[in-house]
Amino acid sequence: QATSAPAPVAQTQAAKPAAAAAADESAPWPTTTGTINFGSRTTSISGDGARYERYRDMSDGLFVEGFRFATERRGWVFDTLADHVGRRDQRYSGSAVLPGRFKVWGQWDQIPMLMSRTTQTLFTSTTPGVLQLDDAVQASVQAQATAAGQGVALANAVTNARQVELSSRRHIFEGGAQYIGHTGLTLTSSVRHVNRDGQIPFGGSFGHSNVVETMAPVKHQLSDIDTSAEYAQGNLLVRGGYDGSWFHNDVTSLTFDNPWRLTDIGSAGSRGRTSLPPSNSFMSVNGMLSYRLPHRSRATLYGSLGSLRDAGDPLLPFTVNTALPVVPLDRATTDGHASTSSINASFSSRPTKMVDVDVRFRTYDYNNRTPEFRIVQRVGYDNAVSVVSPAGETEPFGLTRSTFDADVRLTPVRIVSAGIGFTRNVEDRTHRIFEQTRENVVRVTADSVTGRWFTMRTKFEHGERRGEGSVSEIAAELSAIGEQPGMRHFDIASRNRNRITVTAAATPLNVLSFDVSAAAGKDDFIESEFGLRDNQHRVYGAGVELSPTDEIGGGVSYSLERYTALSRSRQANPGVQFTDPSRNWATDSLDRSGSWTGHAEWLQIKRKLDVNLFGDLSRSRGLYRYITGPVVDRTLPEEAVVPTTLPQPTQLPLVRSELSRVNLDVVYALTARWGLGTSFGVERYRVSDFTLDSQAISRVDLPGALLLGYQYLPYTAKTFWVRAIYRY
Amino acid sequence: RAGSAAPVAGVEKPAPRQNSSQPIAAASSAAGAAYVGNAACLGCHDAQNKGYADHPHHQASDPRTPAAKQGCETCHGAGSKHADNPEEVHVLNNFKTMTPSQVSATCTECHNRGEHALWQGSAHEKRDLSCISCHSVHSAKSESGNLKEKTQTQVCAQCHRDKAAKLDRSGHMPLREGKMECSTCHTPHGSTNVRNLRKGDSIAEMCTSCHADKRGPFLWEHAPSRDGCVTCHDPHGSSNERMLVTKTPMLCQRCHVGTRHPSTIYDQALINTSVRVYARSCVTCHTNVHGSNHPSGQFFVR
Repeated sequence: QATSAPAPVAQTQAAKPAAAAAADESAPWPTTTGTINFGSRTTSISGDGARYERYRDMSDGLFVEGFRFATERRGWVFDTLADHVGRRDQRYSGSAVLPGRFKVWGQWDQIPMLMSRTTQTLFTSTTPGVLQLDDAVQASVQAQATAAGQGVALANAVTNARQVELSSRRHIFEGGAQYIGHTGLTLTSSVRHVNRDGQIPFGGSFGHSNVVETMAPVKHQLSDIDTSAEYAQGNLLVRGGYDGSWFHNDVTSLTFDNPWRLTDIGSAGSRGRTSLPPSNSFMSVNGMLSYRLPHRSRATLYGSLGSLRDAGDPLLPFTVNTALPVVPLDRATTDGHASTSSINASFSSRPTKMVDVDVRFRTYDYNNRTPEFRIVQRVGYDNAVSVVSPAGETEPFGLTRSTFDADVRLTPVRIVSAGIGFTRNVEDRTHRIFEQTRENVVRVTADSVTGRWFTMRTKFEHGERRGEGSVSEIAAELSAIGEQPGMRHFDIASRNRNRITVTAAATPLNVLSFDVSAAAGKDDFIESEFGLRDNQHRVYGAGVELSPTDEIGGGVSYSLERYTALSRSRQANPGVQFTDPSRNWATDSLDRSGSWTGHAEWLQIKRKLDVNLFGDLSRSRGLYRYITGPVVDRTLPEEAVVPTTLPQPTQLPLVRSELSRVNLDVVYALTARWGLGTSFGVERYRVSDFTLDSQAISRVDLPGALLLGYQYLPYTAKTFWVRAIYRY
Repeated sequence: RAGSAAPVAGVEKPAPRQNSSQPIAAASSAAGAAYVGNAACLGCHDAQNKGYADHPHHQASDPRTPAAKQGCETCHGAGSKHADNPEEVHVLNNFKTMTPSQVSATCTECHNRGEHALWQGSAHEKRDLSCISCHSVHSAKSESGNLKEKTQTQVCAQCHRDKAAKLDRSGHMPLREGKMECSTCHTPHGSTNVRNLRKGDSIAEMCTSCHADKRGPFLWEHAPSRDGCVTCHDPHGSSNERMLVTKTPMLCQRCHVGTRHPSTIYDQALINTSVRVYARSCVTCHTNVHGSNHPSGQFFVR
């Protein structure tokens, strides 16, 4: 199951190693097959070991992994699998299949998420969801009259901070069964249960000047049931299904002590309390009817109805601060409820070898029926009661999305095709500045596929999206919430989009293949005076693979991505600054990433030895350049162009990250069944990031903050495996 | 699975007439040819047999497999003319020289249920990909799925190299650790959802099928997160924390231009002094950015 960096076990599985080749010759029709891969592993790490491991367990010691066992008994095929036995990322699965008739499968998988081993905290917890500080710490900080004094007191306290591992882990059980009847009926049912436990970093604030970073408990359970019945007979296929999903959070609130106060007062609380994700459920029924028509045509109709519900846990009171009066809640629970519906109708026809026609209509509706919740008072940060005037209400967001697609493609000669397509997308939303957007997209494709020797696919797409609504009403709505009237949320803003992609692959010789690809595009948000103004991308890729023999091969590929974006703002306080164009500024950002991947294999050297080498390198750069005043060539015609009155900003440093890996795997076939192997892997991460590296987070008690000290840290890790491989 | 149900060599059976409505006619074998059975094929094509022997196609007990029908000739067509004159290769269905539509038509004669029923008209089918663009019957390299490469990522990277490259960024989901695959989220054979997504009827429904803590419905909704998680996140990976498409606070400032702190220039002078820049940036205070059930959660603070 390895991905871009094949673990040694995968190589022994899939690459027909020398031992396997020998076994093939002696037993070409095996009824029992499998491998087991075991040995010892050791890792030396300098730097951030947690980031090295992340979703895996790379601890030292004995390992058993890559266990595979398959056998046939009385027409049944049994498969079992075990990976990383006894480790935090272990996985076991099994299946029993009566081919063409019945199968049953199950899997237990654990996925760790290791974020940090160097984080520190002063908080302790004896009750889930309640984080406490030593009263003496709070008292010593509260006793200080000045912010500087509080900083010193907090600095003294953090010398006693305990180091904690910041991690969580998913425990996933899934299983299912499928019955395939003689009559064309297929019944499938699957269940999945996920337990996730651990802790994640979570912010908390006691106002703009006092923030904490805590560890929020994660105690989630997610249970899913999916069932479907499908009937296929002749040209007809009918399917019906039911999907149920229940999410339960054991801890739906987090209470955390205020490092700056021990006692509640009317302007500050000794504790803060916030909500954590609510328990909920989602259930849907769906059906599909598909019919194969004459002239290589097919019509398909799919529909689904769903219901999403909050579990009904009581809402938290406005505040946990005992010095504040109780603010009445509009109601006791969220009463969250939304219904969904979806229809997907498609018709696809290939009436002749020269003509392809595809038409699709799709509509999706998310109807949020959660009643509005009215607030006339609120308590921000558990600090003070404030009057909300005029009264505020929640905005239960809903949307309806309707999409019509039509494509026609002509293939005048066998190896060349050209197509044209059109998409009309209409989206109706509630509680957004544009309550409707309409987009028309035209695309042109030109492809050449000559079987194994050469393929090229090109596509150009032009789209125009427009938001519908009164500009003056939108401006008033935005101004009412303190936003610039010329701001447009980029996900719904009026936009012109152009995109082109080209991919080509050539195999001039049986042993040699090349591929190249390029993509470019630009989104121009044509009416956005503020917010994201435009973004562009350029992506290039190239690869070459060489396989002079079945036993020797290798390849290398490279991709380069370049994304730019211009986002505009106005640094302003309420009042005259709000309308002062001389306070305009912009961020011109550039993200650039280059990735190399290479591999080489030399298998069955003297029929005994397999050598695999893999490496990759991903190098990213991010630059955020501030521009004050108007931006040349990207200023809207109606925009006032005036010299800036803002002070010249000091530009941000470059963000850099680089991840590289090399893995060498060698397996020697002792016999047809036994092999000995060794692997050596080096992984290296380098980072420079102005928000999260060790310079940015130099200590946990930065001014006005008590943090966990979660950082981006570099590492170099070297792992050495020695293994024995047995093949059944 | 010793292939006992395969036709016996020398017992020739006439090839059935092709149903004119069946796409497989596009890849029909030579007129007048008869079935010769697997043994005749294997006399020369031993290399192909090695892959076939480990393949589900070889499960003769499954009545829908080639092994339960005409063996090799189920897909490649009746082979008597080729057997009589091995130089005549054009009389057989050679998948390497067939057009993509001919290949797909042949495979979907049997693979016509489940997600395969959505293949015709799917994004991949419309761009002239065929089953053998990704799969191999005779020389599969993957542990499952009979793929041409060892892993799904390698297969998908043949065209989607930029997506595969993103998996190697510091912010990623557990694909490179082998805990997920491209097909965890996508179904390449066609889908009723957008973007070939496997579950749900929208991007948000797909993402929240695992990240159900973000599912809501919330008292206070953050509309872009309901509209589509990809507004802020790149699910294939990024160099930013939490797979964000760009760093915070710049990401938030793409929409929030309001007075006071949202519109502040957070330049180098502030990076070590403002909590709105370092660490979790905006999300330090606006913790419940996906939606909040706190009655004071109007701005996703409490």
